[in-house]
Amino acid sequence: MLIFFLGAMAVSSVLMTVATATSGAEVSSLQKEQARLSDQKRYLEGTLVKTLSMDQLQEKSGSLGYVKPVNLVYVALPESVAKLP
Amino acid sequence: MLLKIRILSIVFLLLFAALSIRLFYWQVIKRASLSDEAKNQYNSSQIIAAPRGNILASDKSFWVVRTQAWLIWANPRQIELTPREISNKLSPFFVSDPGDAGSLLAESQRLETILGRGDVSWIALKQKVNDEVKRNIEALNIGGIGFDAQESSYYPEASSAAQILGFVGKDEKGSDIGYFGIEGYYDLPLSGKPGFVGGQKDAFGSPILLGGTKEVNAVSGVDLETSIDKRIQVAVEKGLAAGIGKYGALGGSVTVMDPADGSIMAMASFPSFDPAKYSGYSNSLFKNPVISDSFEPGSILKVAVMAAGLDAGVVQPETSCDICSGALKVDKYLIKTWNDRYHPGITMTDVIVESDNVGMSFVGQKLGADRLYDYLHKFGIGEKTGIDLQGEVAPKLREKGTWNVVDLATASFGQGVAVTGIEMVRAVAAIANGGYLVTPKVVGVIRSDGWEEKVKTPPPTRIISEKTAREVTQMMVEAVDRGEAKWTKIPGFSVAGKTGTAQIPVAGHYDAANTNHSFIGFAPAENPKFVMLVTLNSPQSSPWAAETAAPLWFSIAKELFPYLGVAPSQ
Repeated sequence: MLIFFLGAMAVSSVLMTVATATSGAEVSSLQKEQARLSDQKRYLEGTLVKTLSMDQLQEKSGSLGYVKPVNLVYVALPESVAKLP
Repeated sequence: MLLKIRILSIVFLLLFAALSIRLFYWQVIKRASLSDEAKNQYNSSQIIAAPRGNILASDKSFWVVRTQAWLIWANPRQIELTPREISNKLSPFFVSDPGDAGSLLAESQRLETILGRGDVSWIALKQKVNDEVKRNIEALNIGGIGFDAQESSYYPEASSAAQILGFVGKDEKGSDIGYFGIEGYYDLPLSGKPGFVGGQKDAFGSPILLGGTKEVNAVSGVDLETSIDKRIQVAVEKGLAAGIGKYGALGGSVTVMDPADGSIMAMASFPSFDPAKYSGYSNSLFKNPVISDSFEPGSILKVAVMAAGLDAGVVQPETSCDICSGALKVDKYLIKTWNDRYHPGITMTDVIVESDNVGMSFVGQKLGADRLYDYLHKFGIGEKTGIDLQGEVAPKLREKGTWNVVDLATASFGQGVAVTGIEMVRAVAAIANGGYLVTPKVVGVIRSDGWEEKVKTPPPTRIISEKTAREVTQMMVEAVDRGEAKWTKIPGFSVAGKTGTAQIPVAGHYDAANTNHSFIGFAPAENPKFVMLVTLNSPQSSPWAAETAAPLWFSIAKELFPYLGVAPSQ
């Protein structure tokens, strides 16, 4: 009985160690993946910001045919006046 | 036989004793050091860097965004190529222009020298290189070269707003720290707080979960949302650069502020620097002249002095000057007008329109030195405005009670008093907004993950009556419509403004050849959207601000009017 109990303890101890080591490896793998995704996110954010700079937008708007107005014309609306009865 | 057994027993006994002594040595005497060595093998600890916060424009686009960068290092004991071979391969990636043979050679020599040091096991080769460079170097597959993640600042608008933003440099410990401008003023909240993770790792570097972990999360730096408008800032910078070239000035500054709440909409000075390459510029360019340089304001201060006279009730807009028929003798000095023309009985409105120094001396005399001092103090002259940028200075006013008649006369037309640009903008904003002194500010909102808070500033304080502000505003409108700068005004728009041509004090006297030019104004005159100060240092094209700073003010204002919805009043 004692031998059976000690054997079970030994086997469970080995299994637990294996499970813990596997979990540790998984955690390590997930940490690396998290770091990779975090780096990629920053890289993509940086790329996005670069494409949204004023110079880039001006260049793009120019290539799309938009031009800055040279002269502005202000139109004054006629003031309403009381009509004769 | 018995003897043999005894001898064998003694040998075993001796061996047992030796083993026991050795075990005692390792397990008792050397226990502590061996235990530490073992812990060092499986324990790991790592500082978690706190990402520095970003700086945003008024439209929430980025002025500064923190990006991934890399520290490239080498282990000279592991490198397989010669230092020269490695330096030849790497140096083209580390210079801004690989076509520049001089800088390429210098970089190559620098790398070869540091790689030649065989007595160390880790050498930093280059800080903060971008992803693209890292990938290219990785592709070369050079043994003994490694990469550590770092943080870098990217400026989408390049050197725009450099003197507002400041830059991120290193402190004496080699850690990132903000210098000047927003980076310097808000360094602590931008930096955040680094975290820590500690635990045990096996031979492959995987965590041993049974060993337990200690983790303190890093607190990210906050993002700062500024009131700086990219479109206005870029328009101001383009206009200023063109104006400096056109009028042959040594430099200049433009500040645009919302007079209602003190929000800075744009602030530009030239010469300036590129914050991404700050180490290549002179330290003198890092400070923001608008908050760090003082100058004699000259005639632009007249509006504040006139406001003081009106508010104190010693003059009215129609009051006529009874000492304005000629140059005024004060002590041993003769006070003249800028064009040596005199206007007997000139009204106070026309004193501002004509920028009459004798007329302003009349106002000064009516006020008296102590009352003028009190009003200048109320307008914030001689004290820091409290703007949230690092590096603000405030030249002091001469102490109250020590002003003589000459000090009183000259101060009333802006001489013998030193101000910063931001002080002048704040003072005139008080006229523009109906009499309230506001605190200029650049950052409006601080935000972090799912949390944001408005930056609080002291409440505006009333310094002159609304009636006084209205009267001075009308005088400034008349100055634009009828004064020396009338040729440059934009027809139909209601603008209140004042020119200033000031002598430059040099070693106890005034520079005979050069003057500083300025124009300060706001628009529309009623319920203004912005107050703007333009200053030009020693322009050569004309001796008068009406022909340099004033047209520059209007050329920039012409860009701002449609954007800010300012329509013609006529």
